[in-house]
Amino acid sequence: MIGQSIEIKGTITGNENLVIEGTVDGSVTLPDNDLTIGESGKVSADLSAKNVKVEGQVTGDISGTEKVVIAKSGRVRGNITAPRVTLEDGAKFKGSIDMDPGEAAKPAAKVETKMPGGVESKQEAS
Amino acid sequence: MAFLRRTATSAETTQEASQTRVASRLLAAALEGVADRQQRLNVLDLGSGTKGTVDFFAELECPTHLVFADCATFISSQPDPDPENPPSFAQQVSELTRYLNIEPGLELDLILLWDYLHYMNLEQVEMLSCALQPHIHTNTRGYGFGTLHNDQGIKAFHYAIASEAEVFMRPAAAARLPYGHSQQALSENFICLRISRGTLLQEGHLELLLEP
Repeated sequence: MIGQSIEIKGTITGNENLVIEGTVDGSVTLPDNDLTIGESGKVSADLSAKNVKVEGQVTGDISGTEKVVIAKSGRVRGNITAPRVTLEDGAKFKGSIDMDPGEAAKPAAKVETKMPGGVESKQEAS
Repeated sequence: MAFLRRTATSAETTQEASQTRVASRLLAAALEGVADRQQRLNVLDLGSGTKGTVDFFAELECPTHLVFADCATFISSQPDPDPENPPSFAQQVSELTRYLNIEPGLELDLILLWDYLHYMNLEQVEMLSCALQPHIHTNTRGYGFGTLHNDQGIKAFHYAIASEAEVFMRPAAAARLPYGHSQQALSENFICLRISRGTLLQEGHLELLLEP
């Protein structure tokens, strides 16, 4: 979790779920995990994750490989791309939404790298 | 009260207790064919994003591209023009085009005007028409509201699609819209689409279907 008093400028990547309650300016990429922008979160960044939930403020584009939810307290200005998008009552949104239900039906591509001896490699969060 | 026929008082919403779900006579015509559509559907909503409209299009089988323009914010944020150096009509169209942020070359299939033309003076209506013109194609349809008499201010609501033949309405912060343009005034200034059908509702209000 990135707490309320934390400010980050730059690129965030990783392979675990993340909650942002602080300020982020840059980009956030979590290809296989969930990203939540908490109510006190203020993000000026392009966001990419499996599932994205926005309860705070986001200026930037949002990409979800499964679903994007803008909660009632969420304020988003940017473009959203995801198979499924939900806006809760009270959410504020300006921008475009691209939804393709067919993308959700497709099985996710699974990439495994076998090391000699059969050990699976795992990319660590940077 | 609501000038469309109310079909249910809204227990539909959680936060907006005053939201109502009302029957529409022309929305189905504006949405004709979308349920069976396979290719991408391009929709412009002049309002900001709403749960009902997003939920409706999320249920379609086809890919959808929704643009929520939030025109009310654009209009209310416009500074008073410099009287000594006012921006030209073309400059204002260019600024509105940038704000709408519709991807170049995109052909819109549906424009949800709701009542946003009545937030604008007639010069702004004409600017919007110019900004939208490049995105109009032969099958573009528009849906919105007008008034039979231009001396009647239209009650202000926030709108969203509830179903193919129903609209969600909830009162907006402003009780009435700044303008109540007549059908003739809209026809003369919003020339990118023409009003093809109008249905008279209560209190002199009109539900409008627009086509190229």
